[in-house]
Amino acid sequence: VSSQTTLAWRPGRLLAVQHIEGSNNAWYALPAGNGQLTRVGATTPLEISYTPPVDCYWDVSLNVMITKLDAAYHNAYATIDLSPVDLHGDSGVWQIAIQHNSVDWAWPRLPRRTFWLSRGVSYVARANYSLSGGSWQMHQGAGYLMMDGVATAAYGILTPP
Amino acid sequence: MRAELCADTQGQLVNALLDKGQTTGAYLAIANQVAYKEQSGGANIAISYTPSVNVWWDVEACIGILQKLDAAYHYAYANIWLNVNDAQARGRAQCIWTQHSTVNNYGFRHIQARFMLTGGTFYTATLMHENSGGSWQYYTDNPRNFMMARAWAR
Repeated sequence: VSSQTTLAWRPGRLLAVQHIEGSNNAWYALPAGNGQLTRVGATTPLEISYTPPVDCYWDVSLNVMITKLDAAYHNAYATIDLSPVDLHGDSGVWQIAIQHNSVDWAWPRLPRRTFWLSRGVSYVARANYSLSGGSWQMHQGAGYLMMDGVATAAYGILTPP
Repeated sequence: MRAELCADTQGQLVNALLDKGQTTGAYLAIANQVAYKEQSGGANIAISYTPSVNVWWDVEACIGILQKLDAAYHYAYANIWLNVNDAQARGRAQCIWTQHSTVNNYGFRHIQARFMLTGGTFYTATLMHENSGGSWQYYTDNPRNFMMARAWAR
């Protein structure tokens, strides 16, 4: 499911509301190393994009449930990575947790950040992961895996800090 | 930290602010009831705001890595503290996790709160650390250490 609504862009008003979610009600083994989260098996990358008609704030959030399959401690990041960088030069948010299958088998990651976007520029926010080792999986059900975006018009032109 | 223009139309976003760590970070030890810093010896992760009208103030903060350094279980809160209580007598928001260096040495905190501010009052929201013991450190770069706030006229 993915939706986007473009509304009037008066200052301080909503420009767009976006939602995308998993569409495979099952666990999926994460490939080792680094990669992008996906919605159905290894396909359909989890990401949202936006090209604002005016300078705006873009609130992007990710909800993913990650489980550890083996009896060893490793860490896993879930990140939101923005491309290109926003007006602050910021490119994302990273959250880490250590897991072990007999200690803390399942744990969510809930990164969220507001980006400052420039009008006319096409941005994409990708949901990525990074694993230090071991075997991991995530759930691709709609209730476990989702990414949201809310764009709100800024007052005038946002200038780089 | 940056501020934007204000307006007084109910329901509109009237202000957005950000405070964050440095582009290149480093591990920094943190003691009980001390504010997180932008960098070693730097300013607190904090946002100050004096609304011109009554607003709802959404404040969020992230510590992407909070590491437990010793082999004992203790908990650590991430707190958002206001310098004065809001119009509903609320001035704190908290998020807790217990950690141990040989079990779950790395953890994150993400905390969000909605305060009800009164126009003309000076507010500061500070990201605070509070623990039950042990040694802790966090990483100061900006993808893992920031606070953001938005105000909506009410």
